Amino acid sequence: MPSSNSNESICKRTAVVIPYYNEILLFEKFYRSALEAFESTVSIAGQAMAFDLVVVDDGSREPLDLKILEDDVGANLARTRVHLLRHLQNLGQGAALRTGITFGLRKLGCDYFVTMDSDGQHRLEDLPAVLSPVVNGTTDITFGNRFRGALSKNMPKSRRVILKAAAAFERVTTGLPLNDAHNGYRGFNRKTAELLKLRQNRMAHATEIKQIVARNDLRFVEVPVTIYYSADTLAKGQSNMGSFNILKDLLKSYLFES
Amino acid sequence: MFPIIFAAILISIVVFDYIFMHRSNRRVWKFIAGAFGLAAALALFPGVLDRVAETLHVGRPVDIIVYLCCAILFRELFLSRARDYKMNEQLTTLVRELAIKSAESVAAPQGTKSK
Repeated sequence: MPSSNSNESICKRTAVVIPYYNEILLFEKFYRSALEAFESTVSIAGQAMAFDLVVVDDGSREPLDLKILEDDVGANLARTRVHLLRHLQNLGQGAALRTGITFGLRKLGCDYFVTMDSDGQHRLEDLPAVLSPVVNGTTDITFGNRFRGALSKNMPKSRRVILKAAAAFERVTTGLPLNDAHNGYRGFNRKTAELLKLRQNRMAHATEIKQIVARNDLRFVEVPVTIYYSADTLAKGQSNMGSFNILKDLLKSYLFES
Repeated sequence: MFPIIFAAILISIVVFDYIFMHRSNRRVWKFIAGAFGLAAALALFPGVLDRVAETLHVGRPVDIIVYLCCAILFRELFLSRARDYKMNEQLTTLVRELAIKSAESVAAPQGTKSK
């Protein structure tokens, strides 16, 4: 992960919000490499940076144990803080993200935020690219785009078709010229975090985020990221039928939100 | 003969509820008595419903009841979903606040736990 010495004396904090649900094996692998990556990232876009890893266990059948997080930390963790939040009941990824973002705003006072999946689909090497445009102030939020630049590995064809259709739907409904729907890799500043009062508990939060960006005229940019599709992540991730649930959730919020 | 038996059953239910429910839940009993009383009256005097159906140009008198029931059912279903949605939002807020309040942190650099 690229790093450089910073001239800035004030170290900014970034909350990396990671929703977790029943994926201990994938998560443990990701967690170890995430700690190493955060420790070695001294600065982003010339800004001295420290990370808060905010793991939100969204009511897993076997709750994530803090001991697991402690065991992997080791003695060399100097700049990264790890926080574990537990939902008593499974609410959904959108709800877990909002919990993590609220925690980062209210308790940690973070300046920047990153959201990513806990199953290792997102590459930590892409983190500086995702966060840099936000840190250097050229944008309020960045969205990962798996279709631009870097090639996403092993993406099933059916997934590609559905994601393209979903992106077209979002372009029509939000007016934002974005090409990748439902990519969980995002970076944003504090101002955006304060606006992201997500009410979509489940997967429709990705569309809701874009609606909030459009409504508040936030500056945005798409950043090429690579998504790794393995048999494990595909088994764990959203099914193609999940897109119908997203449409159902969006309709519900349209009808019932006051 | 059937309308009389049907009306008698309805009135028996109202009387039964009066004995066992009237004191504890007067409003519910009044609602049941009203609805069942109307149903008993329509069973005993079907000509009334015939005239209403004729006036409204609805084929059979019983269709009026079917249409009304469908409308009420859909309204109740919609309102019930709206209530569920609101309750789900309240539950989410509760779960979130508890999670934030009871957050645990791994302290650096020794990996000791702090709250």
